[in-house]
Amino acid sequence: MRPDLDDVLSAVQRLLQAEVMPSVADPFVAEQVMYASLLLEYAKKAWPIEHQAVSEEHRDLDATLRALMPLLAALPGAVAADLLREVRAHLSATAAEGSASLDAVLARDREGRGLLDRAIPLGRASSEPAGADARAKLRATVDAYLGRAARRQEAAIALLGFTW
Amino acid sequence: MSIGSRLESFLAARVGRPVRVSALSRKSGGASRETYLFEAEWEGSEKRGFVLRRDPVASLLESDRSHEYRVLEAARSLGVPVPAVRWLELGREALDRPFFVMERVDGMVTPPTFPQAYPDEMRERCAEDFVSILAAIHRADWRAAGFGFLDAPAPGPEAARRAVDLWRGIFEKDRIEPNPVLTRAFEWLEENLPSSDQVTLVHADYRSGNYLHESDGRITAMLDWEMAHLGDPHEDLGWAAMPYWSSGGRICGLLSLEDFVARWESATGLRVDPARLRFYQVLGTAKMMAIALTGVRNLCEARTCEPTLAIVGLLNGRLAREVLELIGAGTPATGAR
Repeated sequence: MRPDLDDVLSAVQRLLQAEVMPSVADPFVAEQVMYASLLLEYAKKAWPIEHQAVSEEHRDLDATLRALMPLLAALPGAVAADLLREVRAHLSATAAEGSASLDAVLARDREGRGLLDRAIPLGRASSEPAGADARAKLRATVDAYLGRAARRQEAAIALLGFTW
Repeated sequence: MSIGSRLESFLAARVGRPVRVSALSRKSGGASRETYLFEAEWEGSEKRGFVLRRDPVASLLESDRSHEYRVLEAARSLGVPVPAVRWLELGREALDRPFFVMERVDGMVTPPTFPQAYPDEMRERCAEDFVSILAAIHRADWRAAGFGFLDAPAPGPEAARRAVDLWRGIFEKDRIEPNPVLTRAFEWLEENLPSSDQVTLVHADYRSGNYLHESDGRITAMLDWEMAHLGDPHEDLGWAAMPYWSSGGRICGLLSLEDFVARWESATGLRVDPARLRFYQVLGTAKMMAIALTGVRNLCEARTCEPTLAIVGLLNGRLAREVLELIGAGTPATGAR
């Protein structure tokens, strides 16, 4: 339906460039307007592919948490056991949600990253022999996800067209 | 009343005669302070340029007001080029928020990496000053130079421990959602804390973008001392040598890492420890991510509307990849599914 998001953002961008910018005398404010326009351009480029980015991140996070479950189960201690319970509950809730709203998916993924965050210290090397293999595999699994997620984020910010 | 008029009243009270402020303009950049340039004249004094550094409503970094002023005062005694500070105001009556005024130094600003398009001779001269000023900071007898108000870490891992605790604390305070990359980076830092018996003055934001230079490349002033402290000199080396500030294979856009290390060693008589250098590159990258997250929090919680905070926040995606590469985690070779 028109105006779509691109139409709306483009109109605001034109307003800034054609009407606001020429009437701004203060160089500091002019620079802020320029940056605001740059962010609008980013939003225009990012929005059409945002659903793909969210979906890819969601699937990867889901698969990573699933891969962590047997590793958490192999680790001794209450911390790993509690986290395993929460990961299981998170994955069940995610599966039960079906086609949720974008906000719900983003909230669920924030929760998933929170679980991953808590798994990180469990991969710490230890002199304790029990669970050594699981610890190493857990760290490798988390690291692999972090690398993929970082590359996805970096690909997204390439749309910004701004760096130094 | 405008900021210019209020500034005139403040300065008049300080110099004891009426002051005229002109050419007041806010400068972009300076993510942790509002920076204004202005000229002022009063009876018995010719018109001179000044810089006002005022606390922002919200910023990338929340640092102590008087700290930078005192550090700048002491840094002048080292013979390194820094602006002369004139007045510090910690109250809120004059300009709503604490600020200080320093004398303006002539010179050009660069972006956070020295532009590749600039002439080689200019880059070479800038690189020479960049290293020699850093060496002067690290060689300084900080007690004799008036930095005794800074808290010195004990020899051993304390300098690294303090730096990790500081930036981990800021990250944990300011994150508005889980950030497993930074958690992983701090985990690596905890596991790799180095020991150091070198305690020197550390500038803590030593990079291109934080100095002024002449058209021939000569550095006229080193700026942004607000995070300066006592610690391991590798902290400055690692920060300057972060991939984030590098371009064209040159650290800060100025010179190769090998050249940087060789010149610094020659100028200080100290040796670079590669493991500590890497540790502080990781710490620097994590610190920059934490600083960006402070800006993101301020933006998302509507304390500021500065678009640059959104841009710096988005660039955390690049820092995430760089910090993982530095710690050898999640690279395509180890992380492919």
